[in-house]
Amino acid sequence: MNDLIPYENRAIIPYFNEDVVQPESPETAVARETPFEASRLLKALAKEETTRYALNAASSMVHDYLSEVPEERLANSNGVKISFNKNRKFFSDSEGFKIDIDLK
Amino acid sequence: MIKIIEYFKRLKENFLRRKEVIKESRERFYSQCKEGIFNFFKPYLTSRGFYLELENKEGLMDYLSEKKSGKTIESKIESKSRYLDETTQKKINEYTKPVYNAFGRMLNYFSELKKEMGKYDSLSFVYRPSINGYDVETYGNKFNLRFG
Repeated sequence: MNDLIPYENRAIIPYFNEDVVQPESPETAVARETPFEASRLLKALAKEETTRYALNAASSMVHDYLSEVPEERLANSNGVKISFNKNRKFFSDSEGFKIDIDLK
Repeated sequence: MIKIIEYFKRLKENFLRRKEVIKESRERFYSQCKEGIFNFFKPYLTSRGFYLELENKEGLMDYLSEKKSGKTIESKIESKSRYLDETTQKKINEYTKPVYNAFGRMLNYFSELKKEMGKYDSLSFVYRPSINGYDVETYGNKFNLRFG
């Protein structure tokens, strides 16, 4: 069975051992049974949560920032752009992100 | 042989489940963008995050002037998740906890500094785990906060 898992993904296997799971959901079943796909699935779920945090944080900041900007300046602007970018290795030790708010 | 077939069957199920999760995530993102201030923006989900562009300036200005009396941070980061399974949530938290803490610190820095920010046209908030504390730089109309 072990030969079916690509060599580069074998390191992930000990992470999801038997004591990880009770009670079982589709996600935890994944974690127990197929480590490689489990890792990808958990990352997809974690990404969703992170996007939600980022969206809420950005919403708070944009609201308070635009409330501080003089009305005339906002009326004369050509638009507002907000972006959130994660680093490539986001869920590793070098994780990091950037939020930009631009008034054009 | 049966085990191999079962393995690939499971792999396929998990792959399909992940695709479903990604699809649900996209739908949730676009529906979340219809709430609050982002209702006036056009949202785009990108591979490394998201991007929002102002679409309805008049609507936004009306919204801000209505809110001006009770001006405060609009919403807090939600800690509640839609996943009820504790074990899955625990695993997800292993990934997201440091990031969650970073967002909390960013909002604290923002609360301290927001009064000064109205004079800038461009704000950047950069999180790098290797930075100790925070550091503010300004270039003309640009405000840049880096923190760790």
